[in-house]
Amino acid sequence: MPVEIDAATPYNFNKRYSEPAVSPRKPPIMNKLCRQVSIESPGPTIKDCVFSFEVPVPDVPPNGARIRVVCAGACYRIRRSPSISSVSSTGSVSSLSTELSLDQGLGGSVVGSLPRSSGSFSGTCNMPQSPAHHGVRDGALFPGYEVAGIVESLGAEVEDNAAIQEGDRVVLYPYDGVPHGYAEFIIVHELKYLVKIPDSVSLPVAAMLPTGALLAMNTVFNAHQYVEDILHQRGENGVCKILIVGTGGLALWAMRIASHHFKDTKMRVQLTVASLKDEGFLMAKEFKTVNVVQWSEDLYERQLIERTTDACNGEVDIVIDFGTTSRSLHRSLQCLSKGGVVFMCSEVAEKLMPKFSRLADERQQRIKAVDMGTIEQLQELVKLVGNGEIEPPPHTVFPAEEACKVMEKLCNSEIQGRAILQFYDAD
Amino acid sequence: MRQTEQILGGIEGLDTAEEQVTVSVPIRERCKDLILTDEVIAELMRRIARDVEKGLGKDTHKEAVIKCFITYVQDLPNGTERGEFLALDLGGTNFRVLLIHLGQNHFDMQSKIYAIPQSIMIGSGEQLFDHIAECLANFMKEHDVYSHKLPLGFTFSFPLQQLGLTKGLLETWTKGFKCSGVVGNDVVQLLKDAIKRRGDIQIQVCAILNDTTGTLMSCAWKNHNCRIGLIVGTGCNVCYVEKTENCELFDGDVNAKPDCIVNTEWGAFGSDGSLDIVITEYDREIDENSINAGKQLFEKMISGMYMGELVRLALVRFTKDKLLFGGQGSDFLFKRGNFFTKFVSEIESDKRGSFINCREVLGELGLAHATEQDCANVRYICECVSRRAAHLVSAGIAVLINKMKEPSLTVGVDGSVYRFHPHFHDLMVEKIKQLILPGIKFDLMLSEDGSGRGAALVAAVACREN
Repeated sequence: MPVEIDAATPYNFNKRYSEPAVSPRKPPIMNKLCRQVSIESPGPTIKDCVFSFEVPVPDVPPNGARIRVVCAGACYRIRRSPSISSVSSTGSVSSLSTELSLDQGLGGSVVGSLPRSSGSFSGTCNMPQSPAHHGVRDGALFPGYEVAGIVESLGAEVEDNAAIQEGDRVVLYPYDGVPHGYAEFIIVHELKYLVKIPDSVSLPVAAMLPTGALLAMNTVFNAHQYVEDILHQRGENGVCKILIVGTGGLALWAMRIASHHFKDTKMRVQLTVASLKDEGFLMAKEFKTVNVVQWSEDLYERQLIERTTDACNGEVDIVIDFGTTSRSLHRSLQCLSKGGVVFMCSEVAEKLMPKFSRLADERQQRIKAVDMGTIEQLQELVKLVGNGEIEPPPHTVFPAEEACKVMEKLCNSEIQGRAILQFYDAD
Repeated sequence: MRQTEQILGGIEGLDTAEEQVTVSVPIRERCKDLILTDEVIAELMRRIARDVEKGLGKDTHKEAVIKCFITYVQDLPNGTERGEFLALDLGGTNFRVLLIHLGQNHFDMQSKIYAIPQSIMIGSGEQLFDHIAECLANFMKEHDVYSHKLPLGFTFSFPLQQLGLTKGLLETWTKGFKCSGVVGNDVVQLLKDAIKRRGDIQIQVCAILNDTTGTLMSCAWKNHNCRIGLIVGTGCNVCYVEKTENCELFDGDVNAKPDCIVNTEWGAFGSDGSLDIVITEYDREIDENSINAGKQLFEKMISGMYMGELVRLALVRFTKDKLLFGGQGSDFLFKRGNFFTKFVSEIESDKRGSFINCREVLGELGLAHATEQDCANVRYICECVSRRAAHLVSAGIAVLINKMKEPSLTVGVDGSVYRFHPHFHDLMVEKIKQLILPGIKFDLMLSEDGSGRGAALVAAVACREN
């Protein structure tokens, strides 16, 4: 039975435009409205980053499908323009639709290829600068698009024997052109962007895969070549040291994927996790082979660097840093050996690279931007998690209407592991 | 002058103002209560001197707020110490185990830092000491001294009533610790009990000391006229060499040795109202929200645990009064604990007229809309808070220097505020010079690992006796 989300939210319009609820036996009709939650990057005030409004149920594309969204990972979308903040002031559905259409027309995935606007070095940016919320530094909160749901309708021109059928449980690979919010119904123009989920994977777990796990996997894959080079240079007893920053969702995935990926060399790949919170300390300790160093933010930078190099028995060769601040990158570079490499999200790398390229050059260090991974990697992930070879991080499921509260908790790293928004109880 | 450092990797020159922006008049006015006049400092010195005497006196000790605990450390290093020693360093925000080899003019050290999770900091004392014993056992295993019985010096940087060189009762927890079952108990015995519960390692606890004693010993090993050990870090405390005959609570033969190190625990100064002449609304708010309200008032005006919060409270006040950031703050700024003390050092490390670090810090706080005038104001507020801290410490140090009547002496200093703040050393030197009696020469010497090396030296000196 579909469960209607409580309509009373602080962000609702004064008037509802939806038709009376139809009988569950009838398919939804074209002019029906559904609910959408949009999460922008957290600005100076957390409450300003979550928007909730109603949008038309989209028509099914002829070669694609309409997905009923069951679970969505709590990620934010990079804020594109100030005008999106004023969407709540839109007075009518028609202009709202216009706004949505214009926005969709821009294209670009939320992670990979947004239109760039360059900020000046002094910090006066065209885009409002995100403060260093704890959850952002920890990798608990990150930009992305993560949807898991059920195929509700197939397009008219989809072949009857297609690999994807109505009723299938799927995740959506975040291709260029994904919708910019989490609506109860979303469309995909081609079936190739859908990945079927095996029965052994729950939809909340599946929802974690398309950005968080995928980005972490691609980061580990990018690091792989460097690891091999270092192990080769250092001979049979040499060790390659990797530091993973944070114990939020991204870092927890990176830890698990790296442990799995390098398990055959595990005595020679030394993983250290920099924990930004005490709970993270305990969480990281579940892996006995992982070293943990605590990055208490109240310590001076030099103390943290000394502590980290002490814990790692010297400088590290590779840093995986999902934090998004100058401070985080600066600290990572200080812990990194000459010739070492830092991997970070491409979105963040582009912003920080100009400030740090000279500093990195002085020590022959490299800052590598990592894009979200490929759909093949996502398929591989689904398989590995489905087989139980990689265990997902802890997560908590919240009703979608609590998105604002969830964001606040994520900003403060108060949720262990990932937060999943649930629109519909289907498992 | 210490060299300023571009802490956050900012690019030089891009943010240098053509004209230097200085603090605005309204902010300067509002910060006046953070500036100590000479008259106020002189009065504070009189009160500190009085309270030190009270702490030393048998009849007045009980009521004294500056306790002047006797450490029973009566010898400074003289260079003859030899051997292999363990040290434990518990205090501030981390915990270390060290293995130290002492030779003639040579010193070899290996150490490891262990985290103390928040849950243990506020859990039971048994859990705390079991955690310490486990770290110690792991360390001894890693360094192949697992089966050795080594002398150990235990640096325990909390207010301690020492009843002997190896016996200390915890007076009260500070610095965020709040383990149950420890206050009033002998922490050496608690450590021994934890080690016995393990049953795998053996140690000989030769001394328990705090970080100020360790700092003094560490500097004295290098510089034999070192007589004062000062910590300005997470907490703030000082110890100094007193005449044994003045230590009226000394339990033993006061004529056996002329000197004895006294741990003042001066962080508690002001609990009786002696600081009312300088306390501001920010200090009161910090005290009210601390886990030890009404205590350690002097420490709360000086130490790194509170300095950042002092600045934050001032920023919040001035933002709400529309003197900063156009009256528009951020959730981040308004949340307690979000302005770290290191931010103060980073902001004051900017070259004059430049606001690179300041902008980075304000950006992290969701205040990217700050103007250049705002940056100049924020820097000024930081300077007022850190300068006040330096002057308060200097007043106390001057009291001790004047009391000891040594013609020339060194003060060994450690602690994150002293170590990392770009101007703290110079602010202190300048102020102490003003406040000490004519004819005295002094120097401030940065201790190298007083908590670790100092603990080993105390154990070594104790072994030298045996």
